Amino acid sequence: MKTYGFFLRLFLILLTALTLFACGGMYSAAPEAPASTDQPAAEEIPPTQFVSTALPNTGGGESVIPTLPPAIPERRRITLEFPPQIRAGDSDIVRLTLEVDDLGNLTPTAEVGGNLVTGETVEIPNLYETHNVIAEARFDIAGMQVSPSGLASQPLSQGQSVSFYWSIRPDGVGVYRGTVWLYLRFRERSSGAESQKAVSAQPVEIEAVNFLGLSGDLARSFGVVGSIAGTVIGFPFLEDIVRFFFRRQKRK
Amino acid sequence: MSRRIRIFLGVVLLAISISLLIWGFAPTRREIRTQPIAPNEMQLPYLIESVS
Repeated sequence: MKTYGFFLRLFLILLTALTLFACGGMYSAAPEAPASTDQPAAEEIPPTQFVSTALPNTGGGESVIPTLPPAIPERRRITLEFPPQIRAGDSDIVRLTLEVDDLGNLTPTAEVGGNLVTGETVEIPNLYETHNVIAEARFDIAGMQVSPSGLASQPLSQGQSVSFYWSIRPDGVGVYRGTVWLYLRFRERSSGAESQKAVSAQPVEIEAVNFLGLSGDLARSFGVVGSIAGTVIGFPFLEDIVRFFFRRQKRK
Repeated sequence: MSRRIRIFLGVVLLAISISLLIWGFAPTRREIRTQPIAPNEMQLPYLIESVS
């Protein structure tokens, strides 16, 4: 009877141990199951985030193909040219240029599993091939006449620069503060879907000044008239010259 | 005496007028700002959001 009880307890202990071992093994094996197949992991990645590219195998295990979103394949720079000081009543030009930066070196880079791979083999899909890119610019400044006043647009092509010009005229003396905005509008060629992105917003401060209370036009007008009058009045030999001409006419 | 006064007035008027002309016709100083833009700053907006 004692022997029967001993075996019964041994059987129960073994059964409990096997059950715990099986449950533990099952739970520990659970995370490994998806890792054995790449399909579930690939489905979790958003499709807009990656596009296949031809990256060489870096060695060690399976070859992982990283993908990059379409982008403008060039480095550009914005050049803003404006007068920080302007004569009151005069007009001037503000120029904004989005040009290709020839000095910029674009090095495509991809990070795969913690290893940084840098080289020329990462092909970034060209955004110009899939989208119409439009550069839009606006110059907002209070108290000053700006032409054109609204949003100006120009198509942006690969490797080409675009320039925007505004004519400005301050109404009076003072400091005028404004912002030059530059946007990029992307219009997908296949679907026509549009999206806009603000690229730059540069604050601008322009001071309108006068000279002795005179605006630019008045100063130039008074300058011309005053120069003639001052020359005539202050000419030292004017009287002698006039007398010389009068005498000559009398002799004739 | 009247000749000296006339010459003095003429010189003063000429000096002021030339100052006005110089100020009125002087080219305005221009400020040039350059800002480099990386290609990733010109990507599609929704792509940037999805990556981040």
